Amino acid sequence: MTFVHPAAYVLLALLIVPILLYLLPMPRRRVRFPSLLLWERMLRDRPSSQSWRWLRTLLSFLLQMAILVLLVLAVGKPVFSPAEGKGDAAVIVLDVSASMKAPVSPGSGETRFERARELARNLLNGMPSAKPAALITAGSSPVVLSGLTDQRSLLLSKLNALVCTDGRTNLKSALELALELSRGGTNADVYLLSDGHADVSGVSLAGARLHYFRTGQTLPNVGIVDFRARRGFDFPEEYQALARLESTFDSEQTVELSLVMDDNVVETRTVKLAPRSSVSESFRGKIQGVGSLEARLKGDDAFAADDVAHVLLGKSEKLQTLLVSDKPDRFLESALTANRAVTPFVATLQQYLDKRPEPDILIFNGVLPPELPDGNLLIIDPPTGSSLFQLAGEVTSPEMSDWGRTHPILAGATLKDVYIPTARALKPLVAAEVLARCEGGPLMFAAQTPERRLLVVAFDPGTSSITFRVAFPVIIANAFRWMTDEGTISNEDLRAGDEVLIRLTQESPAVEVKYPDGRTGSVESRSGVFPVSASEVGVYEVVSRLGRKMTFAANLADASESDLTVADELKLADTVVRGRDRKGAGLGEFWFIAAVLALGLLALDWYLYHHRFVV
Amino acid sequence: MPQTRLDSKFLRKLEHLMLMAKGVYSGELMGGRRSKRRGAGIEFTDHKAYSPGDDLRYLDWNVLGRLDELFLKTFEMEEDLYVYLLIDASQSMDYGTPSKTEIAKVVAACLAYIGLAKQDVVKLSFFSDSLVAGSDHFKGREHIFEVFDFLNEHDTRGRTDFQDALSSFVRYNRRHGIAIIISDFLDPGGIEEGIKTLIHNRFAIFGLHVVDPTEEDPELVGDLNLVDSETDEVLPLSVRRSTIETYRDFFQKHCGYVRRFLNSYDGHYIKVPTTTGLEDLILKVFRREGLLT
Repeated sequence: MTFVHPAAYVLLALLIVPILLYLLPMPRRRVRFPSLLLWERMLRDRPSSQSWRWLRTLLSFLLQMAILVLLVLAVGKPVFSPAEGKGDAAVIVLDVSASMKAPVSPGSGETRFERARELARNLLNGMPSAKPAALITAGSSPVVLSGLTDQRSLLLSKLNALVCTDGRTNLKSALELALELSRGGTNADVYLLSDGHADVSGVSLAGARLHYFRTGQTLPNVGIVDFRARRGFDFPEEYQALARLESTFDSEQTVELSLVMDDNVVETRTVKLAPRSSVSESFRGKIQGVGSLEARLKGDDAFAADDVAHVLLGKSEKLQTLLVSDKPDRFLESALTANRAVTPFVATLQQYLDKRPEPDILIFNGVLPPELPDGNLLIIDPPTGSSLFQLAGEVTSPEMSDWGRTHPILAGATLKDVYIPTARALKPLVAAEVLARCEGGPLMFAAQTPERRLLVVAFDPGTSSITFRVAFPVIIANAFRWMTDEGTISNEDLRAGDEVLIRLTQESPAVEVKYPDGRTGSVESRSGVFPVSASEVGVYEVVSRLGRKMTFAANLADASESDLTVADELKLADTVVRGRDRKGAGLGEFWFIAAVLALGLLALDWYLYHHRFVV
Repeated sequence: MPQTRLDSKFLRKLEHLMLMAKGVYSGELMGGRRSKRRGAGIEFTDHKAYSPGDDLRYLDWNVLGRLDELFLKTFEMEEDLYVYLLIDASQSMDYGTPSKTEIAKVVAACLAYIGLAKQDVVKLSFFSDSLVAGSDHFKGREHIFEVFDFLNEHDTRGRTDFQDALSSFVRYNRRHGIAIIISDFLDPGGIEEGIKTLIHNRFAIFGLHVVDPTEEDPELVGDLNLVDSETDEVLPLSVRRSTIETYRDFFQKHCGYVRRFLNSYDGHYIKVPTTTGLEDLILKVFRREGLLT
């Protein structure tokens, strides 16, 4: 325990006063009385009356000591370190996931996060001033708020500015980061302030010291753990939505689930959930307005972050594509026609050069204009080089050695054993991501510049076996979606706590972001990408310099976060760390309690004195 | 002091009072009160049959002549009453404002004056652990100033010892009478033996218990050393409210005990608070309690 105000140590010296008064014989008042006859008889008959005199003196002494100690504590603002670390430093890991927004106990106004922060504050205040400490947040991804430093004020200011997110917990990564930091020659203690509801079985302590402080009690909850919606495939003006609810109550729960479209409630259902079960509810209807769907849950629980989920269905207008080709390509045209989101147009190179139309996507198949226009481009089998790539000959029977399985263009497509008779040997002149490659160079690459998004296919699909695969129309559809997804961002898998990367074709130094809670902020470009932190559940609105508006929604939609269980212990790979849950571990506002107690003891002393507790 | 409080008007009131003399008192001098003794008095009261040995001087010759029987005339004797005023002069009496001693002396002076006015024989004695001093036997109101002088000459000292003091008193005062003890009755050795000595020597006893209010209900609080005014003995004490209440109980029990003890020997007990006015005390309390009539 230490004092916030070190002057309290000096005040402790005051304790010597009652000690001296107790030890030194106090002069008694001498009173002459006619005779002690009756007094002595009285004492003889009631010996206890004076034999307990020492007890009264001792009691009075103890009360005075207690009053003084409490007053010193009140003035000094003691801070009790929950665990006196043996290490030379401390790494504090603070859980900022959505579940930390739950109250510490039923009916409490204090959230788990607030308690954890108070705990962290007390930890910092309770440490020796020269002891360095680091602060790490455990959200969707761990963030080092501050490396090891002994600047206590800096750490405290960062701690005070910290807010809890609606995101998931990535406790494992945060712990690994903290443990790595603790092992880096600092011999640090790691303090985890969390509800501990995460899988950390893969973390190995390996000799490091981990102190786990639970921040709250396990609470039951009903939440939306998944919410998806899509337009009808044949009828884009219709939607289908699916919400999955999960209950961790031990009793049956009845909740109201409402579907809200553009702030209008379109349907409300009463849903019964059996104890510890989940229920899926599907909705179907016609889209009105811009297509913002929201699922709202009204139930009897104290956790709000999972009571709402959003999906933005985006524009329903079809994309206009222009296929520029001097020869008919049945496979490509079929792939375009099969895509109901696309309105395909076909033209020769000359026709294109004559009118230079500006569709949403331009497709050059086997031809290339002398100068590439702005806008999204799909270039297939380019006969010449351009400002974006250089042509370096041909590759015969290229063997596809690798393809990027994670890129959205290749999502759901496999290029294994695709036969390609010949391919152009291309060399990208802009920063490009190679999606498929052979020994002679890239067979397919995607690039993004301020003017456009670009997909280049270095071979003629009509001569290869890819046109006989499902992968071909999938890649074409994926490419169109990738090129035009800047207006609305598909949010089915976008979770609160994620960082959303906004790409703009127009150059813009910054974008304005309107957050779900109504506040606005500016986000600057980072290599042409605008990283927007979606730390809260809700709809985000991004406005570019040119006034182009983009929206996306982030949901919690995480069954693990909706489960408000507080782990009693952390099961690591090599050990089990038991949690402690001392409220405030410290005596944060103890001065008030101390002052009240001192006042109470003073009143007790007064009462005992005036009521002659001891005869 | 007593003289200043006994003005002439008050003294005139006292002249109408008389000390109650219950019991048998045998004075030698012809006093101012009638005795139950039949004998050589002046006023005829009755006849009695002659029995051998009777004084033939009192034979009623007329009856003998008429009835031929021997009868003696009896007369009512007028005897004097011996009034002994025993004043406690121990150190414990020097307490309070006015002190218990002052009150004791004033009361003694009043009673002495009443006795002298009725031709009683009055003797005053101071006692503490022994008989400190004794006055002459006074008779007649002209001796009142000698009484005052005697009272003024002696002050308080020493401790109380009823047994020694009253035994000495009895040794020097064989003539029985009324023994009025003016004291606080605080004797560590007990008052019983001393009182019994008086009783056995046929003294009629009145106990005037002089009490100071702060002695009965002390205004003490806290940790203190109580000092015995007689012995200088020190008693460390933590006095609380309940301590005082307990002490008060003990004091009342003490008073009750003295009263019961005196009553058991046909004695009288009168509590004399120092705050009671002298007129009230003499004219009301003492008359009510049967000391004066």
